[in-house]
Amino acid sequence: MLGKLMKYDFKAMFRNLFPIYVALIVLTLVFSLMVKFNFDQGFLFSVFAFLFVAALNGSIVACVFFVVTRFSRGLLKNEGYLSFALPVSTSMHILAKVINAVIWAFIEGLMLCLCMLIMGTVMGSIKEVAEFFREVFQVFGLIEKDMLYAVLKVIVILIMEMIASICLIYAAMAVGHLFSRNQRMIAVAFLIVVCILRSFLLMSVIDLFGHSHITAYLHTDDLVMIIIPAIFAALYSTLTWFILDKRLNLE
Amino acid sequence: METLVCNGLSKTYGSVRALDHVDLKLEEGKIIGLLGPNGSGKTTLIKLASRLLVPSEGEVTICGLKPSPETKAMVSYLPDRNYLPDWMKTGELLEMYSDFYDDFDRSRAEEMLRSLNIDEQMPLKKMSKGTKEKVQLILTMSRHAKLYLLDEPIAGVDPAARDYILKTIISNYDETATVLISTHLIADVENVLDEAVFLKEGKVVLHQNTEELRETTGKSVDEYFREVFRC
Repeated sequence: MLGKLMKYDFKAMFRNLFPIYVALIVLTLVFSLMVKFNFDQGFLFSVFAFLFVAALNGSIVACVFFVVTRFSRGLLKNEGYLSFALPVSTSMHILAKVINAVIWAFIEGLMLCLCMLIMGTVMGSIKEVAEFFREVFQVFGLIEKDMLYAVLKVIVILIMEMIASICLIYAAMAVGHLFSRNQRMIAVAFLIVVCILRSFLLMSVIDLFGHSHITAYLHTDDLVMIIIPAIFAALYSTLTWFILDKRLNLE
Repeated sequence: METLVCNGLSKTYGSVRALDHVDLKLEEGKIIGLLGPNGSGKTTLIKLASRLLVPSEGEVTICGLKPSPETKAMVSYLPDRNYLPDWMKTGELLEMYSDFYDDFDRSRAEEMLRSLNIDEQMPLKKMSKGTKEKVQLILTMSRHAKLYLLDEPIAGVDPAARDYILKTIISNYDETATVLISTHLIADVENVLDEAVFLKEGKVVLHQNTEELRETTGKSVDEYFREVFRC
């Protein structure tokens, strides 16, 4: 059932984001060609430069927006009547939404990389693009002893942090759903309060054990960097599950 | 055999008691009217049976099981609103129902859509309100479910559409299944009902065979309903 849920969530996201990604690629190509052939002045160029930057930022905002609305529309609004009538457990619904969000975050990242690749290829050369990525990795200190291990480590940590953030957003929307009025405002307030509490909690732990000790520990044991967001993701998901399973009240 | 059983079933929303210790047993092979004015608890009862709500007290069982994904596979639920994603085409919805419900009879649904000249390639958002409601009903009644929960299926549609909806319900439910129709438009559904359940302020005030009801009261179900719920 998980695969089927993901299939329909993916379809819903695809129809919203696909046109945006097509527009982004086209604008990247046009912008890059204008720079390459020295049409880089005047009103027309300004318009395309503006559109290109807007599409670049817009695609990120749209991705986050549709991940959020997919959850609220699919589970907390009228579509929830369809979703919760399906012979699927609540935990399966939440898991499908989280995986779907991660997949689209990846696609968003790939699209941004593709744009850079197009720009590099059209405006410069492939070698320069490769050099750019090498420099990026160098900045993050990734070209050390074992490049592949370092890259994988960062990717896994980023994925875990992303999952924790997605689970927090879903939990915030679920908390908002408990109230009949000002649901969005309550969700945002919950989000802010949890972020503050999380920082406070982590700072307290650091104070308790000593900064240098904790910093040294975090650097030596990568597992901690993965486990901490995993614990938070589990906590947020449990809250979401409790509200959707025990306190659901679709209007 | 009993399809739906409620034992002391209650549901409160804050300080409001929407259902108050409801005891009810619905047997298979019957079409039952869940009748009551607005706010009497009809939708709450149906939502509890569909596992869209959790009881505050008591319990509800479907074929002896507490509401769960397992019972959802046996229940075909029609909510009282447009609940389908309006960007989807009817054909995509047929595929979705086939994917999730093993008891979904796609050929039956396609036949009904054809008889109404509903294009499978047309997205729901381009359909009229009445056509959307017909699509929802077709999807609901194309399942070979044990229990059909139809929440206000004829509210807000014209008389011709009401006839079509009732005809679809009667001709498509399995003989071993139970159909629970919630409505306050008694006169329109009276002739198809085997039993009537009157809900008043969250309590069951009557559960009787409709034939017996007419004989004992000397009135139609609609007339008796008006008497019981007179303001």
